[in-house]
Amino acid sequence: MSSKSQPLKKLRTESPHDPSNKCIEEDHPTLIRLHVQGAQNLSGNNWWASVNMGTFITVRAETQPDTPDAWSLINWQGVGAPGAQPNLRLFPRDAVAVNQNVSADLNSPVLDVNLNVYDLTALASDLPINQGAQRWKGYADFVLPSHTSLVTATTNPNTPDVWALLQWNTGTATAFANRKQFADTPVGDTDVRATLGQKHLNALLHMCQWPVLQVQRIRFTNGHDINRDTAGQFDREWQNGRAQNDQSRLCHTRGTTIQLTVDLNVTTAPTENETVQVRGTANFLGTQLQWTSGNIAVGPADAQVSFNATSDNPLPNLVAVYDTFRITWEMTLPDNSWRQIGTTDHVLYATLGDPNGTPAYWTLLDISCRAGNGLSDEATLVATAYVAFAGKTGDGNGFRRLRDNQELTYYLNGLNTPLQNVFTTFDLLNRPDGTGRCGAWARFFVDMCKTHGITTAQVFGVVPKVANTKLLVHNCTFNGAGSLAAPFTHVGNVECVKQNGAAGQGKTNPQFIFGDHALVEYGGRVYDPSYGTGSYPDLAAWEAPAIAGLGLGPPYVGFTQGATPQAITSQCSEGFIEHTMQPAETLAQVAALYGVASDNALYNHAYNHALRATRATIALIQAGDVVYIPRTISNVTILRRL
Amino acid sequence: MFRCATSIRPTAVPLRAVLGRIVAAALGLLLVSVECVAQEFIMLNHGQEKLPLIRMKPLSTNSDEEVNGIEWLERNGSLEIVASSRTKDFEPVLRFYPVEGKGALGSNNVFALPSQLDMPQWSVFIETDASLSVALTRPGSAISPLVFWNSGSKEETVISGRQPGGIFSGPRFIKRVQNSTPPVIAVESYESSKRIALFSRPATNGPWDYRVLHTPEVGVVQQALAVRSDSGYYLFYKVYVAAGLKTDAGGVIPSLPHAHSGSVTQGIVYCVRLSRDFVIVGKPFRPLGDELFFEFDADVEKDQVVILGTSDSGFVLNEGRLVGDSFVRSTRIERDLPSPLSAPAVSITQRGLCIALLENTRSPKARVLYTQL
Repeated sequence: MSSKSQPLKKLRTESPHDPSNKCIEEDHPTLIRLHVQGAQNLSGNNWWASVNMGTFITVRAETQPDTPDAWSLINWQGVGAPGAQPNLRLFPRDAVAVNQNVSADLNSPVLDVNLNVYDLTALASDLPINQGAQRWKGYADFVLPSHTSLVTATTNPNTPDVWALLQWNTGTATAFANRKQFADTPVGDTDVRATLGQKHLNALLHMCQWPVLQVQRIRFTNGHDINRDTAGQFDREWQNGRAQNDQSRLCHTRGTTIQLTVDLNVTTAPTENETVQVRGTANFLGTQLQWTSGNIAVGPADAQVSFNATSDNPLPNLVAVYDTFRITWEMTLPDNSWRQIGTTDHVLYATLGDPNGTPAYWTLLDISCRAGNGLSDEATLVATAYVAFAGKTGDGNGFRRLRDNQELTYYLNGLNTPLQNVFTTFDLLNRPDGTGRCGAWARFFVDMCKTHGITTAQVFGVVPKVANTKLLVHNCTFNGAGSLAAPFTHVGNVECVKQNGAAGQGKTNPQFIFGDHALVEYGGRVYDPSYGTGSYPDLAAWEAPAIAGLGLGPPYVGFTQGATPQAITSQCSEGFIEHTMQPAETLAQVAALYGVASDNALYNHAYNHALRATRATIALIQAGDVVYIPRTISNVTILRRL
Repeated sequence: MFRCATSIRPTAVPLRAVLGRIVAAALGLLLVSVECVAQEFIMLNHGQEKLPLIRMKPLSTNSDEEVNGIEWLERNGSLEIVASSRTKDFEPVLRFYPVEGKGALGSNNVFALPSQLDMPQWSVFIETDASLSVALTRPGSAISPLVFWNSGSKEETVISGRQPGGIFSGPRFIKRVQNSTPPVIAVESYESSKRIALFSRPATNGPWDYRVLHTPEVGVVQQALAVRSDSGYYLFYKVYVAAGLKTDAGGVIPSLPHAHSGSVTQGIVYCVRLSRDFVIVGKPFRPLGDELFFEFDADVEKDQVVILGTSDSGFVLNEGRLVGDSFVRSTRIERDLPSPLSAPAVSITQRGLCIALLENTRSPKARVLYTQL
């Protein structure tokens, strides 16, 4: 390269020492051009080179003649140092220099060049991890929202005109010449080189794959097993791909933490071992529960990883049904921020206490938790859960068994209701027809309490105090005084006629004559789950509206009510108690014992017609005589506990 | 005309062995109906072998009452089918149908059971004085006690009196007990599950002795019976195991009609050995593996065991030996029938193997099918 001044010409030299002061025209050496070596031309007489320790930009003056004699006449000005020959000027490239002027004068005109020494000082990536040694690590898909990264070169001076001199081996141009853009894919290494003159810097972009996880299975490890209404237990799992309606229902005691094990599929494997964290967050009536894993190592070969966690908070201390509680799952990114990786939906029953003494049947949990939603005390829960029974009586109104939506009923087939496998909660929930007797319904309610750990509700049976009789459940009407002898005065199905109701669970007209009946006692009160009535303060309070009277059979009289086969005893009574007079016992004492107004009222009642026939006066009544205590004038129950 | 077998499925043992065994039985080990062997064959195994079909015969009854229970009974040298039904007045009765020997199918003795509104479950036994003893349920609405009734004394005893609030079902006299009233096996509903109870008649009057015989570790026991053996007893029972069942898409558990429970679900048959004192001495095992049956009956004569079970397509008869706590099967015959079957009853008698079932129970078309092999 050279800096050319003008063509060769003869120069007229005016010597100041010439006394004649005349110009002498002679052949003078002239400066033809300046050549620059070790630098590149920017424009005109501007030259640049990159910093390069120990090297020089050489400016060589070409003269006419281009001889040492001529060179010796060159007058150098500006920067630089003399070279090995007079026509050379050396400018060091050891440091950055800007617009350093070097001029040479040989008989005029003066020629000059401007020298610049620039430096490339740094090359850096904005990938998240600087691994040192000009190596940066980034992650495909996770780098930036724009899915790009930048490599930036820094020069000295760090100005656009210097940047323009940069050369890159790869990358996409940006608005600034000192930056190149790189996509975050593909995974792999990209060696980026920026060159400024003879100086270059490298940056290795190490693009890795951050793992992507997906919740595959959640095992709820500390809850209670829910029995799927005798068809096995829910597995306490949420499984990816299983229909939502088939996902396991969950049961936990209120106010407890929830432990779980989460299996996550590695849907996108990392390219090298990485460490992530996963957390799930759910909201229960305003209380946030969060499950956070520890560090989870995920390697390139891993197909699945797991972690165990316990919720940071307990469930609200309330009975509840959480119909669709949603866990939002997140995992950490390389910068420790959280990224959502999905949601899972669950149904959870929160019980008052741990189920005790019964499987936690699905239907029982659902009825009681739904009824007792938001409650926290036992007595209120029992009373509130029982309210549901009152609303489920009558044809088509019964509880639905959740397993198969079968209606649960009380004596669905009336007289033809089966006699086996109809006495327990298991039976009621297992039978295809979902029907049961009072024993089943009483236990159904008791077991419902037990699913909440309430074990003080007890089934008890009642039977007529008069042996070998049947109890007649309302509604029956006794027409007239009856045509039969006391105390069974009414002809079954003629003078004592079954009316519509009383409705039982899912059945308007269940069977209505029984040898016994099952009730429930809780907290000193009497419940009749078969009919959803009560609660009552005592047995007498239950008996009055529930029992129509007593029947004596066989034989029985069959009939149908609607399509329901029924039977009634051939002899019926409005109800009574037999009392055998004891020695020294008076009828007045007996009347008082049974709450009858007076001995005369007892003696003169139609039921004691036979007694009057043999004992003409009260005074003649003797020990061993049987006195009928009519229910209609007594305050004592005609049924007794078994 | 009653249609015989629709098919017999291949057995777990070589067909030739089965055939050989039945032929051997015809020679004396088992009394095989000659008519059956001679007349009823079906080609199996590409026509290379033949198996005799079990020809089921309908029991001719003189009553239009719906039969709801059956048992085999040997009495006075006569082999009888005892069938229960309910009269128009709701009275439960037992009717006796001799099927072989003197008066076969010619008589129809009737015994009225203690009156009750519900048709009880029952089991019969002929006492040494030829009186008939019956163990039966007396189901109420809240409870279901067991009672004992004897045709001689006409007295009814509540044998579950020691469990006054008890719920018992399926009473069965222990089979092959002679010379005294056998103990009664029954299923007891207890808390949220069921267990097998044993009632033994006391030496003196009073409540029968009660003990819990066995509570399966897994599942809910549905049916139980016991058979006397030389060393003690074999207790057979069927357990409802939800894990082995498959509900349909609607969550419905498969079931078949059942005379007393309306319907019955499937279960696995177990067997366990008991000592003479009714102490379990063996380990419960499943003689028929995981195969599911709706109901079953079993009988044991020396080391020969037969188990008859109802399936969703008919019945299955298994015959073999009990060796320790295992069952070595020698014969298995499946029989498909178009109508649902229930109340299987099987008995090994001097006359052969007797089989009876109820077809179309809980329907006006209910009838008894039986045969002797």
